[in-house]
Order: sequence, then C-alpha cells, then structure tokens
Amino acid sequence: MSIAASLQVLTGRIRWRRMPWLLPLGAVMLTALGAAFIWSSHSQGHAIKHLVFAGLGCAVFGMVALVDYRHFAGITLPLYLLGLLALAGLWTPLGVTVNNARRWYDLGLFNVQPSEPMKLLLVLALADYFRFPQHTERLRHLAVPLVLTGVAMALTIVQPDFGAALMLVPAFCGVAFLGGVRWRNFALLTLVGCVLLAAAWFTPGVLRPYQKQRVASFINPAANPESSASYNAEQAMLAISAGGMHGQGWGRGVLNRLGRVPERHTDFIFPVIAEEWGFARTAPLVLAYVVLAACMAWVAWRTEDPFGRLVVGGVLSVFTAQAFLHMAVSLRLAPITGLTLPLVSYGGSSLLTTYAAFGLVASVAMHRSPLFRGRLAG
Amino acid sequence: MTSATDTERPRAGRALRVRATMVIAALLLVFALLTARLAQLQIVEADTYRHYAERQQVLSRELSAPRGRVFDRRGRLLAASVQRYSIFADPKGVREPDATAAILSEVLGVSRRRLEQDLRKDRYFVWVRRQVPDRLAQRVRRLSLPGVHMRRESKRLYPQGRLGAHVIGFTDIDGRGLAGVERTMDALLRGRPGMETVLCDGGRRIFRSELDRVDREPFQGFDVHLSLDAYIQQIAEEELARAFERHGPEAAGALVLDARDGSVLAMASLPAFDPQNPTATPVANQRNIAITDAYEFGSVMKPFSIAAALDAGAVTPKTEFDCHMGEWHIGARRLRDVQGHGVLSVSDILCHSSNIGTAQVAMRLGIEGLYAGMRAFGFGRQTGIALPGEIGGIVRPLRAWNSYSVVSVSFGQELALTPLAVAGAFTAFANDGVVVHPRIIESISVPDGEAVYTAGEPITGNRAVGPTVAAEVLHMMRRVVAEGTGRNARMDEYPVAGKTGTAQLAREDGRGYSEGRYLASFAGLAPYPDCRVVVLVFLKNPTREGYYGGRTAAPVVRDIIRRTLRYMQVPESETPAPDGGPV
Repeated sequence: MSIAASLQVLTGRIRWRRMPWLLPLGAVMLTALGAAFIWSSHSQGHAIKHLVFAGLGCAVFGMVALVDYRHFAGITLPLYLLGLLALAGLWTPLGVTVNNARRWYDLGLFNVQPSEPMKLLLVLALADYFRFPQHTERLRHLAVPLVLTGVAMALTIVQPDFGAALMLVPAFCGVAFLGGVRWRNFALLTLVGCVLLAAAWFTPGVLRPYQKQRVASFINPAANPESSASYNAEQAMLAISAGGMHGQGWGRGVLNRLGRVPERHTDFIFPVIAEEWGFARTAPLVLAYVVLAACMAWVAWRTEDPFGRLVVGGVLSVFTAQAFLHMAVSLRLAPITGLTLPLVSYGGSSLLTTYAAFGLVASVAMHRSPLFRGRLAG
Repeated sequence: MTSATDTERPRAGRALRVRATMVIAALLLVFALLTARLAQLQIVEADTYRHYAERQQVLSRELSAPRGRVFDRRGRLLAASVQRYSIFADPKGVREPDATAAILSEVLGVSRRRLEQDLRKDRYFVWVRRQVPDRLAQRVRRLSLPGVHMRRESKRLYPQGRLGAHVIGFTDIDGRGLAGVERTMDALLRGRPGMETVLCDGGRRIFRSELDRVDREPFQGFDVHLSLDAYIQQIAEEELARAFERHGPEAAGALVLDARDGSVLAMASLPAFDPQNPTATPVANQRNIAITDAYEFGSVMKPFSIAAALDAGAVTPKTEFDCHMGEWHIGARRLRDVQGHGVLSVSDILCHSSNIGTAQVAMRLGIEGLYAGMRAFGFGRQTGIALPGEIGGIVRPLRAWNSYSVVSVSFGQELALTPLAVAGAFTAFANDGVVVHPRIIESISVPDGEAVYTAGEPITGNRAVGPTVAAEVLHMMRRVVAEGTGRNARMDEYPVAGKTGTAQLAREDGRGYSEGRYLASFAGLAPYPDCRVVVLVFLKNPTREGYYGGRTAAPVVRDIIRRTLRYMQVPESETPAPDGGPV
C-alpha cells in the first residue's frame, strides 16, 4: 500500500461539512483568554508557554480530527494500559515530587502530567466497552468498566491528586449513562459509591487531613476560619464579589495583585477573571462553556455509531464537569478540589488533552461512513 | 439521525434520547446555577462583600502627625521634627542573615553581633537602626537587600544643641515627651494622628491602590512659644559655665527672670546634657535643679525677713540693733557674723549681712509675723511653672517651729526652697511688693497660625509687702552691692541691687549641716531702681577660689546682667552708680 493509500485508510472519508467549527474556535479563544489571565495572575512567561501549548494543541486537534476515530476502537485497551503504566511509572525515579505530590514527569522543557490523558483514555476504553448494548444489561457487566475506572482512580489518588481522580467519575457516569446502563443498576452504583465515600471518610488514613479540612470548611466555613482551605475559599469569593458588575480591569484586580490566593493561574483562575472582568464579561465566559458543551451534545445527538456517541458523551461529561467544578469551587458551591479550568488554566498536559479530546469529537462528527459500521459493530 | 437506527433499535433509541435530553437539561441547569451564583456575588451582594473584602485586606494605619515646634520668645526654633528613614528587617524575608548583618553593620554602624541575632529571630519585624540620615538610607536602599525595608519616621531635632536643654527637655525615639516642656506640653505638641486605610498583602506589606483612603487627616501639634530668650539663655549658660570652670562646684544654676511679668528668660543648670542624646550623660544631669531641688539659701533670704518686719511695722530701716561685734549668745546657741559690727541700723544689717542683726529684727517681728511674711512671698508652694518635677520646697508649719526657728528662718535656714521660688519672690521688690509667678509658656499657637493661648497679664500672687517697704528693701539691696557684701556685682554700666548668700549645705542624710560644704548664691536686680530683670545664680559646693556667694556667684550675676541689659537695649548709666536713693 502506498503512503497515500495508508493515509486514505487512516483518515477515511472526511466530511468537512460536518466539522464542528465552534469547538476549535471556542477552544482557541478560551486559550487566548487563559493566556491573558495567566499573565495577569502569574507571569508573562507562563502566558507565552500557555500559547505555545495552544499552538501544539491545535496541531494535535487537527491530527486527531483527521484520523477516523473508529481506528481507536480496537486499541482502547492497550492505550488505557499504557496510561496506567504512565501513572504507575510516576513512582519510578522518572517521576518528580512537587509539593509532596508525585504527579509529573520532568521532561526538561516541561512537565507531563499523565493523569490528564488518562481521563481521555478511560473515556475511550469505557466507550469501547459500552458500545455493545449487551454490556449494559446486567449488573455484572459493570464489573469490567468499574475495574477500569477504579484502578485508574486508585493510581491517581495515591499521587495524591484528588481532583484528577474525581474527574474519572464523570467519565464513567457519562459513558455509562449514555451507554444505556439500567436505571436500577445506576442507582445501586450511586448508593455503593456513597457508602464507599462514607467509609473512606471514617477510615483513618484514606483521606488526607487537608482533604477532610476542605470538606469541613466548606460545610461550615466559620468552624476553622484560620485553615488555609477556608482562607482560600474566602479570598476567592471576596475577589469575585470585588469584581462587581464591570470588574476592575485586566491586570488591576486588587486581590489578584495582592497575591492572597495561591494557584491563581491554575486552580483559582476563575476568581481572577471574575474580579478583573466583572459579571458583564464573566457570565459570557460561563456561557462559552455551555456553548462548547452544547456543540458536543449536538455532535453526540447526531452520531448513530454508539462508540462515537459514547466517546463524545464522555468527553462532554468530563469537560463540563471539570469546568463546572472549577467555577463552583470559586463560587463556594463546592469544597476545594484543586481542579483547573479547562483551556483557560495553565497546564500543558491538560491543554493538549483537551485539544485531543476536541479533535476526537470533531473526528466523530466528520466520520460517518457506513462502510465501517458493520465491521466495528460486529 | 437517520430513521434507520430508530427502526433497528427503537427502544434503545428512545431511551437514549430521554437520557441525552436529561444530560443536556442537567447541563443547562447546572450552568444556570453557576451564572445565578455569579450574579448573586457580583451584583446583588457586591457591596456587602466588597465591604467585607476591604475589612479583610485592609490595614488601618496611623498617619503620624508632625510634632509641634518649640520656639523662644523671639521665634527662634528650639525644637522641631523632621522626617527620617528608619531601617527595619523582616527576618523571614532575609536570605542570608550573616551577610546581611555584616553589610548593614558596616553601613549603619550598628552592632553586627546583635544584628546577626535579630535577623535570625522568629519574627516579622526587627528594627535595624532608626531615624538614620538620608545619606545612609540611600545607601541601604541601593543595596536592596532582601528582607530589609525602611519607613518614614519623625525625628525630634534640637537645632540649638544643648541650649536650654533643661527647659526644652527631650522626647523618646517614638516622639513622646519625657522631660521639660516636651513633657508638660506633650499633649499639645503631639497633635492628633490621622488614620488611613490601606490594602496590604499577606506579609502586611503595604500595597498602594486606588482603594486607599485617608479616614482622618493628621493634625499637626501646636507650636509652643516659650518665654525663654535663647540669647539670654546663651549668656546665662556661658557665664555659668565660666564660674563652673573656675570654682568647681558639684552643680550650679542661673535664672534670669523678667522682673515685671515673671517670664523666665533663662534657666540654666550645670552639669548639662544633650537633648539629642540624653543617655550619653548621667541621668542626674537631666535634672532641672532650679525647680527639682530645694536648698537652704541662707543670707539671700534676709531681705524677705527684713521686709516682713518692716511691713509689719516692727522696725523701720533706721531702727538700730546691737550686733555685739560679731558674736552673740542666744540661749544655748551662739550666733556669729563674718565681720563684727557694733550698732547697726536695719539697713546696715542687710548691707553687711549680719546674722545677729537679722535675728534680732526677726525676734522683734515675732514668730507668727515671720512665718506669715515668708508665706506671703510664696515660699513653701510650687510656683506652678509649666515644667515637670517642680517641688514646693519646705517651709515647716508654725507648730513645728521651735524657739530657735525664728532665728534660723530669719537668715535662711530651716527653709528649703527651689531657686526658682527664691528668684520669683525677688520680683516683689521690683513690683511694689507684689510677687509675680514665674512662667515659661508665652503662647501656644496652631502651626504657623494664630495663638490659641497667650500668657497675657502676669499672674500675680498675694501682695507680700507694701510698695514703700518694697522700695526700702530694694534700696537696702542696692547698698549691698554698692558698699556691702555684694560689691563684686557692682559695675559701671548698670546699677545693681542684690543680696549675697553663703549657706552650709544640709547633709545628705538630713542630720545637720555638712562641714565645709556651702551653697554660694547671689540674687540681683537691675537696673536699680526700675528693675527689669531678676538674676539668681547659685553654686553648690564650690571647691576652688572661694566659697562666699559674694565672691563666687555675684560676679556671674554681674556679667549676666550686663550682657542681658545690653541685649535688651537698656540704656547704660551716664555716671557711676549713685549710692543714695529713696529711703
């Protein structure tokens, strides 16, 4: 086979007309916005790095979008295992410890955070499993996807990175729910999840003190106002309200410049935007996420292929859940989880993963050739 | 979607659509919630939270009010505050304590060892050196050492140096008045600090922003204008220092009072101190002994006893007493005069300072008369001058007097008085017998503005003696200088009246008098008869070149009077001082 022919097979028939242009456009705009506020809250250098990653992200988006997503269907498990390997590999000397957490590989120029691609890899693996209707019928059928999710979560929690582990839950729920898992079983799973959570809370050593602290101070902020969790949540909320209707202007947010809240360019970038831009321009930002989600929902809605639909559903689920939780934490609607705002917050791994995920969605949208349907479904 | 899927798997398709719709609905709901919460925080509760935010981040800071200034009676600056930089360090922010300490000790001249210790402390703030000259502050700034900062502070300066230090006093490094006028007038000089609200970061570093505001403007302290005349003070200090050098006393003081209104024109004490650095000299040097110490002045007090006797009509200036050639036994005690005399008139008694004569005058006046006379001159009470630490002196109550007291008191024993009280009492002889209270504050004004307080009319005490008696005693004192014991105070330029005093100092333990230790003093008024100034000079235990008041203190008074009256442009006498005058 010639190279051209191989490429032909790889890309399949691309229907450019169905390209969801909103996704890459929205992503680039959000990334540019992110760079501006990373500059404002942290440094110009990080903002530029963010833009460089955005450029790389666009390339990744293009490549993934062009490849027929159905080629992934057969290799989701090996990809998933590769992801697990990467997570486990953090405990080899290759991983570096930053702030008592082993989350990164140090590649010299930049750090790689394997828990980010893991979200996407899990979505792929789960979608590959749930695309078969018979895998949604009985409770025991849920064993495989639960193990897949559980192992990835366990490896992430031990880093520790509670936020990243938490994002595997919407990955599972989104795919399983759209995949057609029965209500009964879903309710059961939710119950078991709650029991497990309670058990984790009361079993010493499972949750770290600061994690409990975050939840406790969310439930009762007055109980321990001196704790850093209370303090950060408080400061974030103060910054948001200080923004008012029109904000204090880019680079002029007083609380931002005071530097009271740590991780302003990652976990707490939303308060910075809200303080400097005010409600008038922050509400449209929230809307932008809704628009992106709606765009993905539209793609999912129109996709007949279960694998494609579930992949898009999973990406949608993880993306929106993370965006929502990030904002909810800043708005004091949820305990501090340490999540970045997708596309806006600084973080190369997260950015590239998001662009890859969007590429996958675009690929699903553009590849609808019935030629493959029978083979893959079989 | 095509209908093919629906027909193949109708149930799953419908269920899926239900689920997809639910997901989308949940999504919209959730983001609507976010937007609502955002609106709540940013629009509805923006003000309450903004208020809360400010309270969280802001620091209420005092804006230091410049301390008021102190001027002399002619508007010469005696004390003022300037802004200086003070260097401090945040030990948590210092990277290399040892190197930093080494550099700072080199530049600022502070102890390196102390600094090394301070910079390792578990604190956020230690002073390095306060109120340094701008030149040093600039050097430190250029070094830009991590963790080393500076702030503006008010530093008190005394442009006249040691001049009038006992009167002006001094402040501590934080600008609180500790002595002198700085202390008594502290509440007025201090002003009222303003308040500002500033934003600060976690390390309490001030963060300038548009939200800063001044809640209350600082109000500069009042300016205090003293009755002191820096030039006369200078004269008094110079002349006193010369006598100090010559006679080697333990301590000495000089007072120049305006005879008419009691204004203190000069108040000098030795040994002195530097108000800029009061701790460099012994603490005792800071005592303003003209008001904080009481002495038995001896013969200087004789004009008061004689005036009391004259006023009571017990004697006239011409009444004669036998002075027993300098030795007289009264009861078990023996009185002695320095020089023996026979029969002397009252006027002569004062002129020659006869103890025997004065005792007899007082005995004729009687014990009650003498006590009342002394009280009438204000002895035994504070003069009320606005300086800290003034004592009232000791005039024992009448019931504590013994049979000999009338004799002792008549020539200035058994009475412990502050030099200021004595000088103040002498103003009676220049004011037709009315004592004016000494005063140090001439006026108080808003900074460079109008006066809020003016001393105005002299505060007069009781009439001590009648005007005739005052003139008679003043004439007697003129004779003291012209022909008696005070001849060393005589000069051609101005006619001086005065009285010498040489008294044994009470022993430190309060039991009797110490042998060979004297308080030498001289009180002078000039120009006779319309006296403008009262000058009192006293030397505690002069050790060289005589100990008589007439020998040690009188020349000092003479020189002070000469220079002071010249400075005050009082016309000099055409002819040598006449001996005569109204009697």
